[in-house]
Amino acid sequence: MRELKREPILTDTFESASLFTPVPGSAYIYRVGNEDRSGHTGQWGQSCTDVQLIEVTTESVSGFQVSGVEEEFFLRSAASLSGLLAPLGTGRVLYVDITGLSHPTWAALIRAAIAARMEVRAVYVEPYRYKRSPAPLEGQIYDLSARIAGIAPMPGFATISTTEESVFVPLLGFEGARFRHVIEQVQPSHERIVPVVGIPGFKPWYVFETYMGNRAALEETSAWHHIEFVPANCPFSCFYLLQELARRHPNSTLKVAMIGTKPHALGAVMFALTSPSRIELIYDNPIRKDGRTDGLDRLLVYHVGAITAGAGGSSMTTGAGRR
Amino acid sequence: MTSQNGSIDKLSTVLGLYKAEWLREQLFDLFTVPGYFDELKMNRPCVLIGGRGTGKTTVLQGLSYQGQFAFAKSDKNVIDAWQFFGLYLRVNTNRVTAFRGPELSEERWRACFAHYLNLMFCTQLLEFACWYELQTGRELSLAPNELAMFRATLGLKSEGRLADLAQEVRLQVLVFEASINSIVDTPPTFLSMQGAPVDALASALLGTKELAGKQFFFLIDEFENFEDYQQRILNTIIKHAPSAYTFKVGVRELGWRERSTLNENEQLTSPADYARISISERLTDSRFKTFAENVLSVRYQGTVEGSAVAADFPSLFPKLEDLDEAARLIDKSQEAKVRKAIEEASSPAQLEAAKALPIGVQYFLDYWASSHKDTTTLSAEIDGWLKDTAPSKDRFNNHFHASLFAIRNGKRGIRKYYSGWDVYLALCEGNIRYLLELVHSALLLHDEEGGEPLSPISAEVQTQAAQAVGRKNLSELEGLSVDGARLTKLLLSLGRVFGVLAASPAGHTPEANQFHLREEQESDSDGKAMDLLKHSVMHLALVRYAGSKLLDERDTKAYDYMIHPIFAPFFVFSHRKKRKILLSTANLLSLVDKPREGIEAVLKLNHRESEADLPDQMQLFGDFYA
Repeated sequence: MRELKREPILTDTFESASLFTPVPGSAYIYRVGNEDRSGHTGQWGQSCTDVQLIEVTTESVSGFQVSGVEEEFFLRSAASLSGLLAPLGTGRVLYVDITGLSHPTWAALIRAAIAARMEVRAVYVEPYRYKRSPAPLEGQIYDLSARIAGIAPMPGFATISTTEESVFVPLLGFEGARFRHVIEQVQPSHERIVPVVGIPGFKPWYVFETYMGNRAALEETSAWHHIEFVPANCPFSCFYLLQELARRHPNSTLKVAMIGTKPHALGAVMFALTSPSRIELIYDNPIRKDGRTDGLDRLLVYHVGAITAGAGGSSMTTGAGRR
Repeated sequence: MTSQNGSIDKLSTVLGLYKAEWLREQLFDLFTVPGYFDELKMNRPCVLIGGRGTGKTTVLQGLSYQGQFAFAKSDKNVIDAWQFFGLYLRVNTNRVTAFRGPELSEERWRACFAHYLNLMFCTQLLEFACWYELQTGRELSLAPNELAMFRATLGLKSEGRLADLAQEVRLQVLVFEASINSIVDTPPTFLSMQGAPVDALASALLGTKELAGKQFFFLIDEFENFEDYQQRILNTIIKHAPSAYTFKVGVRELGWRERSTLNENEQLTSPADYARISISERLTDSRFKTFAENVLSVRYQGTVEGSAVAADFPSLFPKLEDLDEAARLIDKSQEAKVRKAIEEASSPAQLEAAKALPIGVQYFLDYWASSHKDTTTLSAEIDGWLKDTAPSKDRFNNHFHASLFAIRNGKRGIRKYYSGWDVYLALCEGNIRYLLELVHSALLLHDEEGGEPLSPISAEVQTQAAQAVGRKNLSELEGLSVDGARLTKLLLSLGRVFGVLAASPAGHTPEANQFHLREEQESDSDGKAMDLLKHSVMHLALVRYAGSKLLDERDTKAYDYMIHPIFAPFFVFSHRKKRKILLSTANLLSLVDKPREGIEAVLKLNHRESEADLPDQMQLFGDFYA
């Protein structure tokens, strides 16, 4: 476990989604997916008359559409995303609800909102429970992804320059098959794998299931020797860990695989926005199963802007100076 | 730590590093030259085809200038004697998939990707040139006009030396990266012409007196990771490359999906355009044995005391003869039953001779008589055996091995042994990584049982190790490919089918462990089934054989298929290439989509019923078959 430091955890925690209301005058962007938890806006949306709600209705590999607007917003276009966000106004609080949105969409929105000088807060609702697999293979205790579309960079976060030295940092979830897949594709050296496990997990026992799901690959690569722990629902702790790893390995790029919790992925994206030359994001584009989770638990609001303000000013990341 | 423990630990470490990327510095120390290595040094394109773990990466890295330098023990004086300089490039999925998306037309992506390739190849050439100057202490005498031509192809401003040019190209990559990340707003304004900078730079470098007469090899590993249109670009470059450089491509079987160049009427064909080297075809049984023993000997030497001389692997992994195996598999109650039946069926004159027969023979005679009651009796079988009749011997030769699988059907413990060096080699089907895994797994178990590193490993340990390796690779399969989950289901279902067929051979074709597809009219399921088969072969869930037919290697339907033998000990069927059953593409898909029904249907077609009792090692998967 990492030592406690003076690193601010800029998170508001609500024990129930119904206790949350966005600040007056803010904008709130979200998508209601096929999981119960993504529908929490229904619990408070009607009573918030002074919050501008923007519902994402469809997402594709390259963009998304929002309710009431015909045009598609492109993830690889700062101008297109600015077309959505700029009218909301500089300095305005923008909530990006990452619960129901896919990684590429919320990551592009956060980047664009920062560039538009908005005050960005990410919202995440923990699930009450994950769906278990009825016929577990090793690494398949939970039944979360129907399949993966394969490794491809999130639009706008691609790295095409070669990296000489790297440290592989898989942000682990339950699905060992995804860990296997990224190892197979990234082919890291054994001794340069630093897996990240969420402790505490959303539930106290999730840590054991993370180990069980990923056991074979952790053992085979001996990567279990180097595991780092950060709270599963804390992007800031993940962000600080990545900062520390970057410090520990000054001549290496961090290849961070986002195969675990969304808050951890958020931490990785925050790091990519603030230190683009030090990180390569790896994403396997899982195709989520319907009803992969049940119910809602805590709601968390992450004050992302406090960390990333001023980053990504040039609207798109560039890895200038990459090791 | 005792000396024995130390040896085991060292050996375990060195055997456990069975992926080229894990070996790092040790890769070249442990390098074993395969028979086809010299063919790759030809000055023309070569395509090295082989499954995961067949050694493609190791071989390509061995051809790289870094590899050649390591083989020469970093002797700088040998550099000038080299005829080629290999530049290794692994196709990184996370990079090449950045060049796709609906934002641009394919034509436009092609131009972007061709520029990216130019930048990558030129970076490699420049890095090599810098390395060459550093190692030899000599500056390359580049002609200014040639260098100017190269600069023009990429729009480079630098007037400096190679290192400055390399830095400027790296910067171009970063600018290009930013452009790709905002492709809708700011598409790249400058794209170099396909191949032009590489031609210019390679020509400039080989125009120097230091490098005159040499050739560059671009060593492209994991070619299957390219998108289809990207493969066509590479094909075009490979076909039309100038003599200054050529390509050595490593690709999985069926991973080279596109054979045409950007001109769709122009195909790359072997041997006209490239030399095709299929590892599995080159490493036939005896060649693989020699190669594998060399690979293992290098790893044993220096780690195990007393193994300065090559280890004797057939002695370390002793074989169990079929009759001995039968004696081990038959338990006491079954033995008593068989002996009683033999005694009762023998004539008084033959009784003593029949009682003296090995239990394996007695079992077989009883097995055969019981399963052919309408044509023979046990008395007749005993008589035939003792009189050494030709039909009796033929039956034994043809069916005894298959009958071993029936002895412990439904019972706990090992149901069939997989032991012997030749059996281990056959389980690998030419895959060196599998062999390292098997030996590693057996050695660790042997150690746990208190065995000495160089003492013979028991049949039980060999079998358990082989089951464990099968299970490990089964559980890895899901992560290997985007279709991993479907491949895993197919393997679990097919494995069970062939396991049940093997366990109940009586009255049926012995050792049916392959399948071929019904050559019927095309059906809706064909496309999906063909894709499934292609991925299964590419990721080594299945292997395929052309038999004596001359086939186009992409004609998926015409081949015979078999579960990769590495899984045979786990599912308990014969690893030997034997007889085949017939399946339809619909059968194949139902094994994946509705496993229980699919398995039942295929078993019914083969006159068997599904059995409730799974072998011990498959118990964990009980729910899958339920």
